[in-house]
Amino acid sequence: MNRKVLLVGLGIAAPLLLLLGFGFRHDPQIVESPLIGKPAPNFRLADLDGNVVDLADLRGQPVIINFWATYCVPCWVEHPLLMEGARRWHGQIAFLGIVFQDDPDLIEEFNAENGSWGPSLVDDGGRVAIAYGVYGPPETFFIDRDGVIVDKAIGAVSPDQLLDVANRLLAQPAEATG
Amino acid sequence: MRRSGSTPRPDRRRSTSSAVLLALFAAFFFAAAAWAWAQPPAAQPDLLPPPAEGEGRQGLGIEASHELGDPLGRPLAGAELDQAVAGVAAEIRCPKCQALSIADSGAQSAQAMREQARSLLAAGYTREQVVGYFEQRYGEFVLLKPRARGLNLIVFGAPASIVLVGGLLVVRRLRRRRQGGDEALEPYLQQVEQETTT
Repeated sequence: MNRKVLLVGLGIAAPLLLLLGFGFRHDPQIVESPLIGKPAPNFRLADLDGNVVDLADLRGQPVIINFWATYCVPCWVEHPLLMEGARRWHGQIAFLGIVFQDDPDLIEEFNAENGSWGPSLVDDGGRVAIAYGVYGPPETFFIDRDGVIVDKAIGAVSPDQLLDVANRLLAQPAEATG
Repeated sequence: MRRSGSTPRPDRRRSTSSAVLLALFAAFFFAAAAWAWAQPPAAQPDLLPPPAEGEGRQGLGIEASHELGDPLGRPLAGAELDQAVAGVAAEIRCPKCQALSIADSGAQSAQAMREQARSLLAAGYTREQVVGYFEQRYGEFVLLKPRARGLNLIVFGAPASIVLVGGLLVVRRLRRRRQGGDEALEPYLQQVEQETTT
């Protein structure tokens, strides 16, 4: 009888443990983007000064798009790194910031205090954030010369990830773009 | 003739068959989980053709319609549109407050998504196209009701399997209890058999 109870217990517990084990392998806050490997949705947005940026115009150059806001603490954390990245790869990689549900005045104030690593584009209505499937700031999309999203960072981007993806983007030969 | 003393006891046979049943169930469950795990995600309809040259330059923002293709339905308006928006919104998870649908959430993201759904439905896109649009952007996680495929099949199949196996175990138990009465008479029946044959 004890053996039978053990078997029943194992029969029920083992699959459940297997499922739990599978679940624990993933951070529930991190949802893989289905957009990796797909063409980046094109957009046309104006920055705080009214200068219009069209993503299509940047085809042929790697682009890093960062959705951010002043109320987002990880955005402050990654700000110096993005500043350094924009300096290091100036003219090689385009850095674009898209303001995620924030007041343009606060953005302007933040940039005046901390410096700016790229244009802060205003996404009225949040349509661009929806097109990129943004759950919350900061999220960073890495786009290659062909306009394809090759990677995405959720939360503050790390120096290792930025360096690794930037090197990959720059390693793509410019003449291979179509 | 009654069985001899060397025949395996019925309770042992039943115990063995129960164990085999459970082992089969566990094996089936493991096999289903392994199969589902190994399955590649189902290909989604290609809603993301590369934008054509010059598209989306008329105004600021982004044109979802360029990525959705042609509307497959008819443009909705008024109460019909409100109802359709509510239907779509009830199916989509709010990305900010993940336990709520965008219909129930007051978050700015949810509001933006409701507005997006409204403009697409008003332009003639069908419910499936609009839900598919959000799924393509956010992944399957954005659907409050997961699709019945891959690992999700376990969620759909497990309750039925558990009820089935539980039912079989109950039936087996009841049968055993009923047969248990006959077994209690076994020594007396053997005695009668012996006495009548001698």
